[in-house]
Amino acid sequence: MSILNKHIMGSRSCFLVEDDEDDREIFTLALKKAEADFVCSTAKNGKEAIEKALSGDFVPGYIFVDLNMPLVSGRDCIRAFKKIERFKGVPIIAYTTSSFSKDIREMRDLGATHYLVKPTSFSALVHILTELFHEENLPFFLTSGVNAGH
Amino acid sequence: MSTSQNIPKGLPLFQNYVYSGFDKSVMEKLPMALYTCDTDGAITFYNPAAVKLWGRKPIVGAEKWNGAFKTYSVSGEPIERGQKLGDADTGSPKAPAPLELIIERPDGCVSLVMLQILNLYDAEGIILGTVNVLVDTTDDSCGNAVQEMLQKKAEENRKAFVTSEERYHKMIDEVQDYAILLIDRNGTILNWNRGAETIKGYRESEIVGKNFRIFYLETDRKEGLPDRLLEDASVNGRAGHEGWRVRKDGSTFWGSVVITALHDSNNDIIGFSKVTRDLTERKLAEDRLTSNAKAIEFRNKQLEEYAYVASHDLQEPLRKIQVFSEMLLDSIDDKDEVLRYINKIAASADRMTNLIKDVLKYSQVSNTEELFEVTHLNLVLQNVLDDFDLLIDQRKVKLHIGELPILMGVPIQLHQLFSNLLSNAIKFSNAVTAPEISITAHEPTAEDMEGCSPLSNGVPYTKIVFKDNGQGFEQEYADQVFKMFKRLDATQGTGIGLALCKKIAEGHKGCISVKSNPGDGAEFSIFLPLI
Repeated sequence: MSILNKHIMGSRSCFLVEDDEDDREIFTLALKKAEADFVCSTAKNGKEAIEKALSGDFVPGYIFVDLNMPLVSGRDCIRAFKKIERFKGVPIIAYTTSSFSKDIREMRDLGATHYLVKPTSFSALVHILTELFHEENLPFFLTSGVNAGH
Repeated sequence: MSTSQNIPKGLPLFQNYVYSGFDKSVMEKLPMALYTCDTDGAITFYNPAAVKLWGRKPIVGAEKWNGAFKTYSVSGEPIERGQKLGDADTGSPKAPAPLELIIERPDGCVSLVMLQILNLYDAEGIILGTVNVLVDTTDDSCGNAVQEMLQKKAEENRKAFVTSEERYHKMIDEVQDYAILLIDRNGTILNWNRGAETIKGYRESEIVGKNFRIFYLETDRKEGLPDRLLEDASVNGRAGHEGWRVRKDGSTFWGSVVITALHDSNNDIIGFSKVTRDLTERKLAEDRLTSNAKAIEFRNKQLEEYAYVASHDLQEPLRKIQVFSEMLLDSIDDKDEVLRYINKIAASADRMTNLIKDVLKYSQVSNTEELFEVTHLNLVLQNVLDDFDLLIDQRKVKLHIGELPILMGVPIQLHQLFSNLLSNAIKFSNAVTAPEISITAHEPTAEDMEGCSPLSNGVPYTKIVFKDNGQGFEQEYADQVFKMFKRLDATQGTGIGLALCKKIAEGHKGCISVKSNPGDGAEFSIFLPLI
């Protein structure tokens, strides 16, 4: 919470909604490696994320949402974020293991900015995050396979 | 001729023309039978000689062409009353010869007569109708010879009819593959054939005189199906229907029925013929096909589910192993970090193993009927408790076990069901108080019946309740807990256990539901048919 308050308008901040403890750790480490001064706040599930978003006044630079979560799923979470006025213009990235075409289509329809498949390698995740923060006109669908090349 | 001056100009003078100007009083006095008809054939006048010959007075204006009680051709074939007897003799060379007929009086006397028909004109030459002259040519007073001939003819006709009917009856009677019967307008059965006996099981003596509704299911009778079919047949001439019908012994068969209305010569319905085929074999084959198609569809859906699972949940631990291995390599010199990553890799591998095992278990639950046997639920539960012996001891679980029923089930599946529910109750126990779990059987309430759709009114069900005093959860997530890979808590379990419970309950034609409140524990109810 203290992080949230310090960086209310920080474009160099991330909000990660992820139920898996290991994945939260992996993401935080990758983020630190990609952009050392990025700060990251996390929520353990969709329910907690929505509560945090509704009660706080922070505006993150990027929002990452895992799709497969208990209680409130990632899609419900994104749907709720889309209704929050101050999150307008904040890129929302669906972050998931699944590369199921149905999920990808659904996320595009919901208005997510990118669909990022969780890479099977730590360095690939670092690479994608770096790209994401520095390059414009990236495709909707992001995987390590497609983007590792450059 | 004195009348010739009244014949209109231009009209050829033939002896066969008759003027309307004839004095009827003259005709009345004529000794031969004579009557007139209008252009439509309605009788407009007849003289006393005609009355004598007919033995009756036809109704003027109503009866047509012929005033006799009964009329026959000279060969004895009956001629219907009101039928036109012949055309007028115009006197031309092509004109018809006088008709020979037999007429019968109401007293039974018959006469052989000659009928001469002449056109009747008015003063303008327009046809008004006909004058009909009947000359009695019978040689004895009551026409005995003619009568004899008539009787002989009638007898011949009757015999021919009986022979033809017998042959027909035989033909229908011998048909074995179709039930062919005659029913009257109200549906009363009038006759029966061998096919009907084979298909429906009644003998002729048992069924003739009963109403055909007896062949219909009670629900169809209540909905008025048999009467509706008769009505359809009355209106449209025939009515066809396929559906379950009842045999004498109460068993059912799939009947294909055609009911055809039968009419008399006046086109009034006198009854119906009903032809029924037993198409049970075909129906069952069709049903099997449909059910196979449904099963295939279901399997396909399951396959899709597995594909989703494979793309999702099974990949997660694998991906973690890959990521952590890389991170381990990156910090290979830091012993603490290395240990930490190795532990994480091992945990992910464990989880992968559990997932694969559970997916396998889930896919192996099949609903083959031969697996069902008489199952003592208390015995099944005892086996489960034996498995959990150590855990129950360690966690100091307090158990309350009620008397459970005996029913038809798959013991190994019910073992799995009880085992998953018990392990769930222990797993999500409250950190403060010792776990307390009760397992009891109850009669389902009316509310239960509504909440669980497969519960039919016909079969009695039992409700087996697993109640714990554990963590519980919010009721709004109750549906989610039974879904594949849905976990309310990210840390424990594979998310398959309760999905498996649901699959097992439904495979037993039952269902499962849960009531819970955070902190108040959870109450799982399994509904199973008592068969």
